[in-house]
Amino acid sequence: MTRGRRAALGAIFGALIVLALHPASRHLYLPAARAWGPSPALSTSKWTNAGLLPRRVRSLSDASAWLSDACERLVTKRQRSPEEIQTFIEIATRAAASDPTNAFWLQVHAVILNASGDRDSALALWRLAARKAMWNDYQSRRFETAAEEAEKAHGNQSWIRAALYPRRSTAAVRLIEAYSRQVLQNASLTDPQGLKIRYDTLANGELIRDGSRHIGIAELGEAIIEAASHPPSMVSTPTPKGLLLSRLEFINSLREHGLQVEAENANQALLENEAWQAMTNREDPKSTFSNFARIAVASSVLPISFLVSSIFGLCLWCLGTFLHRIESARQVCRPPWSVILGVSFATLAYSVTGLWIAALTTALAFGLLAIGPPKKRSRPDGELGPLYRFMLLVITLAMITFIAGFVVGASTPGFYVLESIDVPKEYRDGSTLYLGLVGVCLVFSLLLAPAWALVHRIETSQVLAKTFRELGISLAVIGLVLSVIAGPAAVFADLSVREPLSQILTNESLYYLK
Amino acid sequence: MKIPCGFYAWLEGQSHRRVFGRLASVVSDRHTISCSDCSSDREELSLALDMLRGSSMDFEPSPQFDERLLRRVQVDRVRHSLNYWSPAFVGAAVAALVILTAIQIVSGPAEMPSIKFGNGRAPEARNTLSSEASYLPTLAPRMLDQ
Repeated sequence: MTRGRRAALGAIFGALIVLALHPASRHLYLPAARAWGPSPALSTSKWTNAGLLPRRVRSLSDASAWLSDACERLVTKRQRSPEEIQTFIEIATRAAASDPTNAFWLQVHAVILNASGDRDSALALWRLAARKAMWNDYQSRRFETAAEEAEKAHGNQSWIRAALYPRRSTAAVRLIEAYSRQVLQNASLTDPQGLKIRYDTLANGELIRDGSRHIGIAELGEAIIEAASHPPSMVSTPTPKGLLLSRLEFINSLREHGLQVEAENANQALLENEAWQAMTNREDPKSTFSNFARIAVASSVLPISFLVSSIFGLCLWCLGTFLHRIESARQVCRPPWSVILGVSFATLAYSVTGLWIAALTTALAFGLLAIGPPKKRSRPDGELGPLYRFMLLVITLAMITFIAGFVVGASTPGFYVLESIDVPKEYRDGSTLYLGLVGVCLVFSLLLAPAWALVHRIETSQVLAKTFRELGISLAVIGLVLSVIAGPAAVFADLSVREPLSQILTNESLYYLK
Repeated sequence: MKIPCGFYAWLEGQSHRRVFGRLASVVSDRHTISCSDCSSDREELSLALDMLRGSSMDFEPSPQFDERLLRRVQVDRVRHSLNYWSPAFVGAAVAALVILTAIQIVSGPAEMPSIKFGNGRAPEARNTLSSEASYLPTLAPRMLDQ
């Protein structure tokens, strides 16, 4: 090994040691190598709307978790017993008593009562909720707690927030919105009682919109406010002119019935609603989240995925060296061993990918190993030319890409985040597609051997051994270099998306207002 | 043919060398048969060498000789290995420094270890918001009124 190569090797390992030990980057290497599939810290957390509830309701966060689950059950129309309904009502009542300024508990209480058939009590609670000062469903606080718990297991990484963001439940507000439409159906625009119910509905929507920490929930709040001014006969997709006229009619009707203060408040709320709608319609929260989530996953997994490529390359190099040194081992490249191996690997390729063409290609590649030059050189040249090197480089880069894809999909961040950003199932959750593609790359390397053996008049098995060694060294070196480069880049990328993702998780509306 | 005594003396000097060793010994053996002076000189030399060999065999190596020898061989081996890999160590040190600097710059002061003096806390401001309010900001204007 030349002096320069020794220095380069030392530099790579020196850099890797620093990256594996530094507090800002160490979670990207050794701990990341153990983080595959679902994480107990996230899957068994009682704070993430995953169906696991705290055994006892000791805090408002506990009550929020229980009521979120209750609303999810109501939305999906799952069977619920009267005892369960009674439990939910009791939780809502106690939470409302200990958090008297929060309208959320009363609204959910009203929804549950309405679902159980007690419509009068539900309406009374609905109107009482409209007089509360704030709205908080405590989901943001629960997610913050869940994030802190997950950080103890996985380090302070941005993908944790990206994994929690899609867990936010909108079931409660969807039920509240559906209930508000039901209330408005029976509220007239011409009599004082109906107008008061409409005004209370508008106030409830305003509370939800202002207290929401999620654009989807804010939009439901906006819809409640808007619907409060619509006459029951209005079609579902009104024209702007129709909307404006219905608003004016609602406000004039309030004034005509002596509800001056309510009219002013309603006018103000509807004007603010336009501003909110302008903001929520302009932003594309899904796209923004997807961009941040992609960066978060890539920054947490790519360094270890390149390291995995490097380790795979070292294994390939060992295999090539073994074939090169042991003459008897090279017998596997000649019939009948090549045929047996071809059939075995073809079966494996079919079982992994399910593609018959992959199996056929594998079998043919092993079969072609039987082809060799009729006359061999007594002193073969060690170099096989620039085209051979170029082919190896292309195969190396393809293999690194596919191995990285597999590692990203099978890792814990990929497991939780990729589904929420609409990555197809074929590319995530440890899909064997990428493994199949790695196998195809290896088959290509098998095809190189007979071709170059014929041209250079060298024994095919010797070219195959050389190909494996060269490919292994390329994979190992390029993988190590990429892992070292990806380390600081990942730390930077992770830090740059950590704050936006944290803001989007805890208060999305505020993030877009900044 | 009798060779001169001077040449015999030179041959005796060469007899221990590999190139002329066998030829020199044959020629000098023939000379000592015919030359009594050289023969007696040779006997004396042989006796002297025997004596020297005998005296040198009397020396016992020191008890730690083997250990010292092995240690010296190991030291030489390690030194050679260190010399061979010294570029790698230099490369590792330089790369470690560069990566450390890069990560420190990238990660910012939040990741830097800090030395705490006293109780390590600054006095809290009196007019800060409550922990709940600062914990999760809300857009609700009513919250600000409270």
